[in-house]
Amino acid sequence: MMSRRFLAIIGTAVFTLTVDGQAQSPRPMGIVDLLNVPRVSDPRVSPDGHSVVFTRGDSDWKSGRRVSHVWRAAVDDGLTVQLTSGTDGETDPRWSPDGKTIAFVTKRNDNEFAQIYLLPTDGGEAHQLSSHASGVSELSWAPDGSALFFVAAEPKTAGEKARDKVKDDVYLYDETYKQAQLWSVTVESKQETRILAGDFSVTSYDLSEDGRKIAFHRAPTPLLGAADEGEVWIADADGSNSRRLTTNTVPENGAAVSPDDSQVLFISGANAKFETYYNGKLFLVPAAGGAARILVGEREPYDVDRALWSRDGKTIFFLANLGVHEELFSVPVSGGAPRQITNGKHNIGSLSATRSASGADVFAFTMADSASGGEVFTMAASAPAPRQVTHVFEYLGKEFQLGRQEAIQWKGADGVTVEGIVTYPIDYRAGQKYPLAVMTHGGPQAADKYGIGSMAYEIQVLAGKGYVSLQPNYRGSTGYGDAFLRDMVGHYFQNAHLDVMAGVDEMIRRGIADPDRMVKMGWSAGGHMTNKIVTFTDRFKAASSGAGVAQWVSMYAQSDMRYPRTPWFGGTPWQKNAPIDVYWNNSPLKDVANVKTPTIFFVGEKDPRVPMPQSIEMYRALKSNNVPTHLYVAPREPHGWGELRHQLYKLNAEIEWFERYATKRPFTWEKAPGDEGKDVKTTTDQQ
Amino acid sequence: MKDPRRLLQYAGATLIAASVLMTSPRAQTRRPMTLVDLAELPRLLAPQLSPDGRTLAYFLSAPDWKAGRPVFHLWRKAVEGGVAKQLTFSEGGDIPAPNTLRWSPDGRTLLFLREGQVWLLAADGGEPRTLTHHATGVSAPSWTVDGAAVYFIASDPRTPEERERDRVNGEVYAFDEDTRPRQLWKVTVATGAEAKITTGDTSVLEYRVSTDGTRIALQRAPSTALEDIYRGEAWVMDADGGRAHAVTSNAVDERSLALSPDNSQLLFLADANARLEPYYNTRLFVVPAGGGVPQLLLPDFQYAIDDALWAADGAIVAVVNMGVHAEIFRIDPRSRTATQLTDGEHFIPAIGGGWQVVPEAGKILVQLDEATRFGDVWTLPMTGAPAAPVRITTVFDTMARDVALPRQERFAWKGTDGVPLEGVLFYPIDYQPGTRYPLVVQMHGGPTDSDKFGAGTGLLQNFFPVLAAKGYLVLRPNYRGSSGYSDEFYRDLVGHYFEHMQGDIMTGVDELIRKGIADPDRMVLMGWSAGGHLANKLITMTNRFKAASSGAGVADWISMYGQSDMRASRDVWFGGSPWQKNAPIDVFWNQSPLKDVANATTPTLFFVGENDPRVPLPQSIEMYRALAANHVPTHLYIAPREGHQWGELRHLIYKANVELEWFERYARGRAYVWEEAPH
Repeated sequence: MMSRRFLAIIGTAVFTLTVDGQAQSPRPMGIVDLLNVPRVSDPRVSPDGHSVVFTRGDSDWKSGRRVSHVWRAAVDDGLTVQLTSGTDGETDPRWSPDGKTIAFVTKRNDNEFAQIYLLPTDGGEAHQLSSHASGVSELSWAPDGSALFFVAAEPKTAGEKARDKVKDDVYLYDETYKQAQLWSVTVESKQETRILAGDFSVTSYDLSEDGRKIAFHRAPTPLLGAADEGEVWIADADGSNSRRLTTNTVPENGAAVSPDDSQVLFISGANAKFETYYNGKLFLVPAAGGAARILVGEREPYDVDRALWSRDGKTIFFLANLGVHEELFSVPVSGGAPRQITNGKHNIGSLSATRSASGADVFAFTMADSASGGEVFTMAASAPAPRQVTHVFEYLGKEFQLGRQEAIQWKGADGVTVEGIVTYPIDYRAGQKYPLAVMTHGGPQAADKYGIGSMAYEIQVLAGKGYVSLQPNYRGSTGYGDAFLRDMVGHYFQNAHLDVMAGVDEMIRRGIADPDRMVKMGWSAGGHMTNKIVTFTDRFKAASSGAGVAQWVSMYAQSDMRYPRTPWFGGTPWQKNAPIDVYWNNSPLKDVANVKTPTIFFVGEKDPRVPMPQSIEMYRALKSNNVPTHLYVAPREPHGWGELRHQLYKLNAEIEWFERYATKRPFTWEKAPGDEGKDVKTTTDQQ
Repeated sequence: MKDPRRLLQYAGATLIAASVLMTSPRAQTRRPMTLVDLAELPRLLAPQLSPDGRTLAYFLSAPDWKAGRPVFHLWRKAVEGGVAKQLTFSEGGDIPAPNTLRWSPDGRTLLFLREGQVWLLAADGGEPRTLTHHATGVSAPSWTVDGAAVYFIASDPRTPEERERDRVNGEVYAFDEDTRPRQLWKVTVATGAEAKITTGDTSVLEYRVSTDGTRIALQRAPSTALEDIYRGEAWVMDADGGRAHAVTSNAVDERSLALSPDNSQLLFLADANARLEPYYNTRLFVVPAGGGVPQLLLPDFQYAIDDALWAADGAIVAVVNMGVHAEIFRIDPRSRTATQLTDGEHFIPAIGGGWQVVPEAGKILVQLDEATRFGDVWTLPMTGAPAAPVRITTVFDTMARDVALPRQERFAWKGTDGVPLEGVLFYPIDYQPGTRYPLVVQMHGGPTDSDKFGAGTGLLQNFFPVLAAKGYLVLRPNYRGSSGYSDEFYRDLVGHYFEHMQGDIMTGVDELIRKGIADPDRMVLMGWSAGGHLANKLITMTNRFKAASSGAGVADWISMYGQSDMRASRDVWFGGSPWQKNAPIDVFWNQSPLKDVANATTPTLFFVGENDPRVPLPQSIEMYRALAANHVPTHLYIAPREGHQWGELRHLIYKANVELEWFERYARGRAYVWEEAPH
């Protein structure tokens, strides 16, 4: 397993010296460099086991977006070819059972919606299979290859379209949605058949090995906020004989039918009594109905992310989050301790399995680390170690000086061990103190892991500018046991913000961080944390808060989901004897009069999760109290920003802010490729 | 105008009214009004009398169902009589903003706004032509005294560099920081040459040229943001922009600035007391044009001044809000006395441009909004003595004759503390004394405003003629906090907000029940903006209403304070900001309807515009989701493209249909058939 880990470590040391025998000095990673790092996802091994298809997204500065295409890599020699190149990109590549066709989803020509296309693997252009009246997603081949299953929203009615046309378009909030339905389309006749449809939504599904059963998640609406009202169901493949397998008030995901159709596995962040707010646990429920039981998670501290049946139905393979890393495990269905298959300073994702003709389970997944965005690896269930297939990210170690990454531990205020990721400056020398960027992850039910960074957390760009970064997995993070996760239950800010500050003190104590040059940043729950920290301490010289909460009372209503938040505060703010004091006392806005830290805010105009008014409340409060601040709003963006120019703007504005207030250095805005010659002042900050 | 039926509609005001309102040629029976009738009713705006007093120009609307909006065109009518004539026919219509229609000093040319630019129309024939070709939309045009040029206000345009920067940045913007200065400009009629008169980072919010044309009074503020109006001051300068100086220095908004005929005094209005402290009924102030201490002209006058202008003789003519009606007053600044010139059951829409002082003609022009005429134009002589107004227009002639409109009446009662209260009561069209009727209480916005006789603004939003046609009694109460009464009445909110106003509504309802008019078992609440705040409060207080409709109302004052585009008046209500040290958070929270939302059981509809900057969408979301979570029947309806007031006819008809269905279902237990808007 560990081959990759060693590769990563030597990577920065060796590849910085020579590339292809040519002398070329690696340089610090810039903002555009970071935004140009490709995204590899959704790898699938072919039925013959010889190749892997996956999607690769690359930055297209002309359209201002990342566009993903379908690629294929040979397992043996790594030879990689791009299979599709449509303007709008393609997703969801799926091998037909006979390996002769790859199905994928794209919006092409004059189509209003994304449709299924079929690409012959022996050459030629893809042709359109589905002609659905709404966009399709979640493809699966029927085991005999005669049809594909997909999920699609119920289309608009003629009456609704007529109303839209004359702009008679007042709409019902939270009640204007289209139920997600399960359909199939035959390959020969292109006949589309409704499989599961009604006054409910099929939010995801899994077709059994023999194609006879469908396990699915059924919710009263397709809205994210109704996920806790969803349940696990099973039905025959034609949609008949639907049966509900769970009845509880927690969300479930990842339902999958055992090869013999006798059991269904699923994952839920719940305990055995189906009480909410726990690390993800692996459950099994009889397909004929009965009590669901926990197979993994009662004794294990980790957070189960995704699980798959072995071909023989005796084993379940699963990914688990262990805090700063994510690993592949297996567990016997009959019971017993899970076995950890991989181990390293990495983050495994996008796990899929192919049941090869030979009968072996072959996995494909991506594996990211401090120098890689996640190469595709394959691994036979019986193999000792995964095998690297792609080499998409090797240029990173050659072209750039990357900061070293390691996990560190410290003690929280109450003595509990807390862990985090440290990324050192590229020119780090022990004994020297560096400006510190403290980045808190979103979620908060998540954990920061080894990785190259992102638009939200530009660790390697900051490393290039001489910052050391700390990404603490503060209390409330996943992968460290239920007590650690549930520290937030009943309050939210109990130990979480103290854990962050204890981590900062540890960085100072170790002589790495300069206490006079510290900045705080975060997005989503990391923004909540940033907003809290600036009301709590003035030790940071600057802060950047993206899509963070101001106050929980208004946030509870505005956001598109409530069920994960109710446990924090012990009830809704609207019930009789509502726990309003808990809501208010945990709201950053309560202590906003204390803020002295110059803080910038970012939010997407269309953010449904932590909507824009939260950032407005924080921004206007700081402004009114004469604290240096700006609120940057990105049009068209939801909770995570997608447009490259928006991401570039965010990183420029943020680093400029840090450089001005923490390191007192000038900063030159980076320009988008193609804009180099343009003399445009790209900052709005005139102070 | 490709549609011949539409051409017919433009043949004359009378015809329009007839085509809309009449069902039978004989019109013997008055028919009840429908929502579509209300949408298609003509609206008359911005009337202007020619300098010789002989010709009236005004904008009149016709519905454009393709655009889903009323479209306004310019009309002309001889004062002495005769048929009104439509002068403009552009497909998009003209902009009927207050005081944007102006006769040239010689009476030979009219200027107006179309597509954001100044247009000129010769009074004696010929097509209109565009005068300005400004890079941004222009506003507030007015003639120089000699008629050789036109002043206007325009925002500085975005430079090509700024536009390129926007593109490069994917249009990311710095919130609240992207305001463009608005400056005063002048365009020469003969050449079309444009010249900037004011410069700098501050914005010109309004201006008025002196009678002799040598001086200009103007209001300048740090920006055009609503928040900055209060930081604006009154200025006086030469007509070319020279010798500019601030005349005031305070924390209140000065408006309706006007220099006296001899240029010695500056008149302005402010919502302030004699010490220029904020949050009082609108008062009339006079300050020496060279600077000095502003004097409150009528310290003991309890009503609110809506607008004021100088007469040629140095007197001041004002439109005064007296609670349920508005009247013209003549004020002598020397003796500091006010004489009421009109009296009636009407409203004068002065802030909407519905009046004018025409010194050359010796006349005052007013629009009167009355029970059966929703805004015809009248004149009265500027003699200083009360006189009966004379009506010029006939736009609403057919209304009283052809459609059944509710009787309007002043209704009086007392608050829980004995303070006298009043409102306007609208009777069901088939009202029979002795019968109890279902009641709809409609609560006005502001809250610094008052409901008056007539149609008011937002007729299709309130649709009282349709409610009356369906047998509802409608009460519009001027609850505590309303303007046009006393300062004590107005300032009842200071330090809390919900002090007496909610009780005022309930004692009004009780009085209607006590008098045997209202049926206590069939009562409905409606309110928009501050009326929505009040609806939200009342449903948490009482379950006496069977249904409620709340538009753009507050849930939570803490989040509202941050979200809204204005905060100044809210500081006064709550005693500070929620963000300051030792913030009065308890006051903010205790006054929030959300605090007691667990008590709400009334089936309640919420409405809000997707782009409402004043009481933004999240406030309605907070109320809606709370009620939905507590299993109270509720829906939240959102209108795309709409701000604080909805404007699209289809949105308004949809809203009224939804409300009528809700009221009929929950208050009267019966079905409602939706009205379809024309396609």
